[in-house]
Amino acid sequence: MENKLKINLLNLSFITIKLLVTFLLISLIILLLGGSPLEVMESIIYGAFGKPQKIVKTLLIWAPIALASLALLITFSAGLWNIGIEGQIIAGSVGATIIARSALGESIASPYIQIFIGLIFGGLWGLLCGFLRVKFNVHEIFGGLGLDFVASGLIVYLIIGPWKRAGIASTSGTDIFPDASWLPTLGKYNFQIIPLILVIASFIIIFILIKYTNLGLRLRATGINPSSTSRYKINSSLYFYYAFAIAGALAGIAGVVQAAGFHHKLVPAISGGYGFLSILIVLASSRNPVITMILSFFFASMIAGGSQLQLRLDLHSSMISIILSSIVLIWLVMRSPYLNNMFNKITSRLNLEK
Amino acid sequence: MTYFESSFITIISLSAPLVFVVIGETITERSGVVNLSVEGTILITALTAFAVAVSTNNASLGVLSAGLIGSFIALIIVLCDIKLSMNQIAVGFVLTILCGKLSSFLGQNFVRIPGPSLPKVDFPILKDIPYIGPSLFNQNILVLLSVLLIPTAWFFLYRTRFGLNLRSVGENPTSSMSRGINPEHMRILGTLIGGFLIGVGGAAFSLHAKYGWSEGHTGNYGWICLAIVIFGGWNPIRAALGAYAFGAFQLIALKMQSVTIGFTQVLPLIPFPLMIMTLIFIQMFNGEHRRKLPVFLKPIIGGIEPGSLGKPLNKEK
Amino acid sequence: MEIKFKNITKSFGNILANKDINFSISSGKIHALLGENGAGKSTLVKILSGHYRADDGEIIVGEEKLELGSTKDSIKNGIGILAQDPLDFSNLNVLESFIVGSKNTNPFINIKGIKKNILEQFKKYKINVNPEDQIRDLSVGERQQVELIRLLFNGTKIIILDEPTNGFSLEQKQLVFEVLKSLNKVGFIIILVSHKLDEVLDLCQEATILKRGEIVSTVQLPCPSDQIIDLMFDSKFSAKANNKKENSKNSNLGSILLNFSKKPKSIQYYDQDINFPCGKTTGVIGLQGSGADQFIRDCFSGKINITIKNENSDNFIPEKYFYYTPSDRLEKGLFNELKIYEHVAISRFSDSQIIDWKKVEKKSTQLIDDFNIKGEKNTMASELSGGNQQKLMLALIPEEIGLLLMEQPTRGLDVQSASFIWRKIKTRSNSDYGSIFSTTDIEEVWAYSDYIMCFSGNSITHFSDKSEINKNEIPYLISGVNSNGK
Repeated sequence: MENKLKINLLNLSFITIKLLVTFLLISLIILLLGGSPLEVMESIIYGAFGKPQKIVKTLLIWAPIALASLALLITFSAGLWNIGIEGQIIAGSVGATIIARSALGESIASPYIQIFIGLIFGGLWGLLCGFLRVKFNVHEIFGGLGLDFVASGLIVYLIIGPWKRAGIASTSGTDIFPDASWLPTLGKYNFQIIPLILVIASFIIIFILIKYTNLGLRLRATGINPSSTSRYKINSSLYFYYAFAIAGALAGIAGVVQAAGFHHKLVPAISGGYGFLSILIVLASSRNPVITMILSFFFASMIAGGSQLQLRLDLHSSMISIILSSIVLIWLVMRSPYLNNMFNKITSRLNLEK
Repeated sequence: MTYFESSFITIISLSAPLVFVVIGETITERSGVVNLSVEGTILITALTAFAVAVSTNNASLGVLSAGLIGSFIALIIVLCDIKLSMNQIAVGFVLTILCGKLSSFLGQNFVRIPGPSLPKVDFPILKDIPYIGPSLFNQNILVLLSVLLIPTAWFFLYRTRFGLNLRSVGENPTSSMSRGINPEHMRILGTLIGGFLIGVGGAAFSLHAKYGWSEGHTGNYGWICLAIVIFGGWNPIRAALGAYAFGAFQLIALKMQSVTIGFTQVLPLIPFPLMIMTLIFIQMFNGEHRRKLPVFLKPIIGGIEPGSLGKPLNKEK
Repeated sequence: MEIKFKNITKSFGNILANKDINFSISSGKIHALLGENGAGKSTLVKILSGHYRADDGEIIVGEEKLELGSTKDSIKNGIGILAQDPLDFSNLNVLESFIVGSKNTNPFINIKGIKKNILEQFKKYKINVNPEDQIRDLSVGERQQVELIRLLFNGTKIIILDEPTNGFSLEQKQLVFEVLKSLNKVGFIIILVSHKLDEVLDLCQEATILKRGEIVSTVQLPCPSDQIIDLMFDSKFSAKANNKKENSKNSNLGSILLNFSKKPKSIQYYDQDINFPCGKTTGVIGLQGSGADQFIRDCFSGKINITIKNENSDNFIPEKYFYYTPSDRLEKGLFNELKIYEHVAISRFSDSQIIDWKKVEKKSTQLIDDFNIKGEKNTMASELSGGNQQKLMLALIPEEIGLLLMEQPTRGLDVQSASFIWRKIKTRSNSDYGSIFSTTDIEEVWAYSDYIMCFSGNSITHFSDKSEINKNEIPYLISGVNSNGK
């Protein structure tokens, strides 16, 4: 078993090298942009975890990102680029708002009804994407983008039109949700447990789906090699629909968390760009559910912690996105087939030297 | 000057940036590469153009540097494709976000400040031709160039050997290689040229169509341009027509703002989904379904996707 | 002019495609390269054309030593190749496809002038194609004709034809052959790679025969075809076939009826229905591209109507009992990143939604053992060798009665693996509705079939019980020659 140990150690050292290189390159980028890497790190860590209320906020940011990432795990495993996820998040938040503004909005059950409706709205919006792909052969990137635009337009229309605040038609948002429609909080730091429950439950469901169900296996098969599916009597179109529906549903729930838990109202930028961010996460995590969750937490911490960068270090908040997307790019390059082959060759050559 | 004439002039003028971008991306995609980073590239090249123009007080230098940045970003994508066998779309997407956010960061000092304008052309007799005159011959030079680009690009792709070789690589790199053409070189050239034009398009935003800089200045135009390339069936003339059609939509939306009450913020957004939805139905006529089109529509819509679009080059031998 | 091949050797991974090839081809006689599938003929000419780089050896063209692995250099030396799939551009029009890569140094395309030139050429060679047509609207035969003219237009002096005539109509073939003969008379070197003896005998004066990567001999034509066939085909030792008499257990299932009214792609000119009893194995033999594989695919896709006739009624076999294994194992039959046990789950455990991986793994271990697959349950399909991929596909077939449709089940396998696979197939074929398999190997079709169907040029040239045909008739039936030699 010495050989296996050697291989494991070698892999570990490769990963360490990759992490180190990433770290150095990111520090270089921060320097070039006029910041100090150490100060930036310190500020982010403090901003995300420095005080109890900050931790609460970090977790609240993590929830929708994690949900969107889990959604994308499903569509990516079927080989689909679900750029429409932004629209699906919006659809979910619109669903939540409908409930919040209705008579049901005053009832204790409101958050749960919102989640249910948000799930459905998101799922339907996702299915729309799938429909365009299956029936009209519109690549899901363009169908998704189109539906994203439609959703953004729709939400602006709702906010300054039918749902506008009395007397003011402003893009700062709708009226604040009634108290009962807020996601319930605990304790003096306003910790919200429902988003975390949703994340954990979704993770378990998605994990089981991918690893232990026929549905998950067939989705993966469809994504790997659509030409082989007919031999196994797998209907690839059906599986595309499944993928979009599930992803849309999860994204819809993320939208509900954003509306009812974070903003407590509907705003035009309700998705916070979390959809696209999650695409970055899943690209970097090579679709491993556990790594996806860890990475989404990392991203959430960066976002939560980075909100103070402007104030404390006079660095524009876009630096966080720059860092995150650079990390993903660097990581993608390091995992490219070409470099991967090189790493493999090194591994086998070292083995031969026994 | 009639109402229609002034609208015509406005459309030609304001669509100039889009024309550069869609033609640039058409050329790139014709060589088999998808440059999904267009949205981010436009943002950062718009910033580059404005920043350089302000710093050197020379708008033309701004345009040039924007073009070079555009080429550089495109080069990253094509190198990742041919040397590292990476997925063009994944790299393009990450670059979109990266370049977009970089533009926000680096552009902080350039928000809402004045800067130099582009050289203007003023042809004495030509400018009096109705419609065309004021559009082209009494405007800044980029507008004229954008219109001249259209037949030039067409000629390049369809009447020069180089353009033909480029298209052959986009269709079937294996056959091209059999004919002694190097597909890697062609993809690189197609991407560099396309990227440069995209950069010029970015410059045409910040130095002309929507002067200045602000965060997210050219929001969403990049995505629209990707859609217009498909709408145009990978033909530069049709793509340019698509760009003008979009410009017309925008103008209509703008005019409707002053006419209808309220919803001033929604109307400008409408051209985007409208365009994409149109695309969706047009795209049904791309590819083999093109035969079903009535003859008079065929020159206008529908096209065939380059055979190797988005696919990595295979290494034989 | 002469082309000299010196010690040309080429391997692909473990497979030795060309071994120490030494011979010359000169102008004056049209030359053929003959051999079975996998003999190495295609590899050799692709080395000449620059598509492959030889591992060892050199090629001298006239006085010049050829730079190997460079299509540009081969073109410069006047070498042009007409391949099975035309190397043109389906989305361009004929004119554009024609001039890509041509030697004209004018950077601008003079459409009028070029069109005139092309029309002249087309007229000269009696080709009826309009330069403004889209390539994809042309038939394969027309595309090949245009390609040939293009080669001539670009100053090609050495023309290689790599099995190009599959899509040709009889007329087109005659035309092209006339052109080639006249070119040969004026000093062109023409090399025909083919397995169709009738064409070779029609066109060529000299033939070099390859077998398993090496040259067997060079013969002058005309020459009696049995001599050639003897040199081409091997009488490999017949693997110990498990040829026990099938129990007629399942002929009371009735008989299988094949009906071609839906005009399947694989068959031209065959209208009659085909009928044979259940529980039997039908071997479909034909050389690569002859239609045998497409026949199996048409059976699976339903293009060929398959019904079971018995005393009571005609029944359709429910779709889920058609068990199909493609010859492109990895591209069409397996999922390259999925592991063996995941494949087992997809095929054998699809009833319940939740997968009991313990059961799957146990079944996988059992199947791996049963089918002697060299791999572990978490080996990915892409990591398996061809033989083991085939075994995997067989192992995945459910145990219920069905109709086995197999494309080249032992393609590329060594004798041992092949006989093992046949043992497995035969074990279950007793209880199935039947099996139909395609192959390019005469020994195989003889050893394992009860009924034999021969294919040549997308036509069925023969169908009967094995007892009604002689084994030595088969090479003729698949080569497009009849046993009298012409």
